[in-house]
Amino acid sequence: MLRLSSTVAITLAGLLMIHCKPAQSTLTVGQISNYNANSPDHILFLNFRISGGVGGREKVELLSASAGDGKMKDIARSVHFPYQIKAIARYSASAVEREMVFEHPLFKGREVSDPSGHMRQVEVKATEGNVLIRLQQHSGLNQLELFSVSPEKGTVKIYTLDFN
Amino acid sequence: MKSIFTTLIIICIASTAFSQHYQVDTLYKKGPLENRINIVILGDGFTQEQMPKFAAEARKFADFFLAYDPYTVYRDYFNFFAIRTPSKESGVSNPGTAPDAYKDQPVGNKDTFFGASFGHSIHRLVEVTKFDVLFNLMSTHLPAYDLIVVLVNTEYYGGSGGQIAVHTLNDAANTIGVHEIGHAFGRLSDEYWAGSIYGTEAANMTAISDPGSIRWKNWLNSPPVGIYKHGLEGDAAKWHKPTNGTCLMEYLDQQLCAVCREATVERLLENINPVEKIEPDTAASIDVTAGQAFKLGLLKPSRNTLQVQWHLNGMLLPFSGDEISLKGGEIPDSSALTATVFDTTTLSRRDDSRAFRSRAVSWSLKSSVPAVFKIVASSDSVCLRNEVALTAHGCAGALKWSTGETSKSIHVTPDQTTVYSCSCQVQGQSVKTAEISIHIMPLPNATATNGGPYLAGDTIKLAAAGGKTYMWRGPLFFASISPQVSIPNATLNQAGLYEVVVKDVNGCSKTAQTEVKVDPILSVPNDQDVLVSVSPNPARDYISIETKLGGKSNVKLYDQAGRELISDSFEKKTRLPLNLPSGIYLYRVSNGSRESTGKVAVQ
Ligand SMILES: [Zn+2]
Repeated sequence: MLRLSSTVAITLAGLLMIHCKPAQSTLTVGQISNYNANSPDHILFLNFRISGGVGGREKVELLSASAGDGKMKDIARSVHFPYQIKAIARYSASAVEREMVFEHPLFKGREVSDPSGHMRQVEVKATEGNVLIRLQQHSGLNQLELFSVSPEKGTVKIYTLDFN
Repeated sequence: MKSIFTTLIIICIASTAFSQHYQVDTLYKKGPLENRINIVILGDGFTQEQMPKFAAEARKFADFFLAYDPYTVYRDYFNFFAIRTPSKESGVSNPGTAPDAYKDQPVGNKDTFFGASFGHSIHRLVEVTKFDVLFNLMSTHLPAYDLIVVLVNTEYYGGSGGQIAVHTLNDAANTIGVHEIGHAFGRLSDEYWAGSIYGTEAANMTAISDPGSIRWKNWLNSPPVGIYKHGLEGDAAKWHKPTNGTCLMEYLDQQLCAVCREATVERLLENINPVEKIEPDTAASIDVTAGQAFKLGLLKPSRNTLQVQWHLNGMLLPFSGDEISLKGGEIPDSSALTATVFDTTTLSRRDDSRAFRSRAVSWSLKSSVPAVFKIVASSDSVCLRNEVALTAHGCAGALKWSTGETSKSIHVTPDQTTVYSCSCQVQGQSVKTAEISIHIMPLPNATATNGGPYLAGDTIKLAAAGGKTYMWRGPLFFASISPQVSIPNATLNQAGLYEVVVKDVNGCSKTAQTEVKVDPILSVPNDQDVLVSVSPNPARDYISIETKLGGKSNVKLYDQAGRELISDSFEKKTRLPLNLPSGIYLYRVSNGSRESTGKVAVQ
């Protein structure tokens, strides 16, 4: 069930990418699945598919968006690997503009260990992958911008999601 | 045009919603999600029939984590959940392509819920591949999760760390989860050298190596914490770590080091408020005319290190604890009561921690008791040298205390029973005066003695007097609550200062000390030369007498007729001037029950 609808979603999103401006889409927050209008606190779950390459060559598709109730804490592993996806949530009013850094799904560091207890960091490359963004919704949220970060190209904007 | 596509997107996005619901097991629910760290354990490669096995493994990991220091002290600060997501097939995918692949492990793909797989090029790197499935599951089942650990159903060793921790059921693999939570929650760096790109300022990593300002300067006196370079050359030589080979952030078979524990505890106390309940509510003014109790519901660590201080109008009240009752008549109208909660844990030595992480609760108070001018003391009977706070109530004018002070509250430390007065001058009215007597109780006449000096093997006898209760402390963790104490088989390291806190019936206490001396029994105890040395011999105008025995010794010098000529008492060493005719003399040195005699020639 899940797999089937995901496939449909990817296909539809893919079609849209071809015909429309590929790096931009719009979401109506109140219509996101599982958005509970009666809850005071909302957490948005945005699932982006990334492919194409690093350093600004990324192709970004919004695969799914859903919402849950509750409050998030500021607990996330900081990313030190130099290839990153940076997300900035923009607000119409005075709300805090928060920058979030995610590991780049196409080029990332992974920690690997052995049974003797030794560890090391290794580089993992992929041709496609997901960036999963969990975001506390504050009022006035009107945009989420995605940037590709790399040592070669610096910070390059790759996607804009508008909220209305 | 765009709006049509937008609508389409919304429709298809909505259709991806996770419709199925899976059972969420509550392993440990210690409180509301908002005020706990919520760890969710997921399982991959467990079939429907294997769900009980997953549930047991999830609990096993939760218990392993909660037994880990410092989490074990703050175990009630965590909630643990497990979500039962059955896989179609049991086990984990194994491409078998990596050079380090295990020879005995079957190769092949498994259809599992999160698609966990051993690595293609690094075998032990076990990762989840269906991140979107995991993400959708969390959005519908536990959107407010804080940390995720995925258990992969295989006994072969493997795991990985990133945004989520993944590891297998291998016994050596569960510290992977704890290590990764150290990164994600404690924001800790690796203490092994992971490469230049991982060089960063963190609680346990820094480029600044000055012992006076290094991040962990407060731990440098606690071995094995020190300042260690990550490596001898290159970038590794620029970065420092607090331990070398003894931290979970370096080796998975170690515990978290003191510096990493501190960072973890600080993160916990930053995220979790120990004040969970406040009675009565602080929103409205509380009428205290008829008296009122104020109460905090506290989330206590397993070693309760929470300290509560109560202030009335900024003045510290002599109560601690979670609850306080105020009597109506003592509270002036428009007063403010504040409770400040601070975790005094020794797991953190952070500077200014009291200022950073005290949590304060304030109530505004009102009272309809008519304003009668009077003085209220924090206590009207105290032990000598204790401080008393005096507050003037019910004065709408200028105050003047007998001490000369003019503030609403003053602190006094009287050395005898004293009457304090305060005047209140309201313009256009006559001066009103109030008085209060503070009774001072004397401190006990505490004494401490011992029957030494002792020799190794003797029984040390300590005696204290002057009070009702006694509390001794001494070398080698000695502690006792008896006034008379015997310590048999004295050893040299039991020598030293013994201290006793003597408390009387009033609860007043004083400390007395006694120094215990223990001397070694020499290998040949009857060899007089070892016990006492007399030099020079023959002597001219003085002799020097030295003994290795502790405590008081006596020396007497006799002529050959047995007449006592010189007598002296000394410790360890003495020098006696001689003004004697030439000849042979006898000396006798005694120390306790020991005695040594000999002859000395005077030229
Ligand atoms: Zn690590």
